[in-house]
Amino acid sequence: MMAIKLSKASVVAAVAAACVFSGIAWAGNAAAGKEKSAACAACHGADGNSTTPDFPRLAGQNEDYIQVALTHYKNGKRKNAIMSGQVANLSKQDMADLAAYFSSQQGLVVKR
Amino acid sequence: MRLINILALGLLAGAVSAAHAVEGNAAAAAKDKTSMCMGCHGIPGYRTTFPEVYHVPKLGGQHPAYLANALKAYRSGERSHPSMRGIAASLSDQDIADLAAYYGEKK
Repeated sequence: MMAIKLSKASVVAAVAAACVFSGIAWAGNAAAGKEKSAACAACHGADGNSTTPDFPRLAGQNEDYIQVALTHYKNGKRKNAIMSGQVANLSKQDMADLAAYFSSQQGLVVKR
Repeated sequence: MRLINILALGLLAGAVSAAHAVEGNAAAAAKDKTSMCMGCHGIPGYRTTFPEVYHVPKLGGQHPAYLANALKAYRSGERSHPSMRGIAASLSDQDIADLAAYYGEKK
């Protein structure tokens, strides 16, 4: 039996490939996201269950969808005066962490 | 209270209520308006296609007014997405209100 030696680089590459093909651009940490969510909570609610319709519920939303929305606000593909200001200071990791946090909260559901 | 104040208040109340022109009916949407939506948004894990692949957003339990605004933004072209624009273009104000009311409820 041939022993396969996995180099660190190939493991990283495999994980990165899995992330890309699973639809998640960047792996996020929910605990870190919670710490970074104070600014978001003001409008979207502490757990992402906003109480005013101007600001959408984020709780339970699909993780990669949140990441894409934040990315679009940042690159101008999606326009919103408030959000474009909010994302200006967010790194890719910040966006991934916030997405991981809000997506893990209870709220939105898939409805037929 | 002075008469002019009462009249002004009444006018204001009338103006505010007139702003809610279309009321949504979730049951009407459930009956025959969700077929275009459920094909993507009703399937757990459904994703958009190339070039950006990501899960379509969950709608169940979202604020109806937010959903209505999103559909109107797709319809007017203010918000871009080829599939959503095409679908929203076919929706009347009543359709939008009904669908928003429908998805506003989780069940």
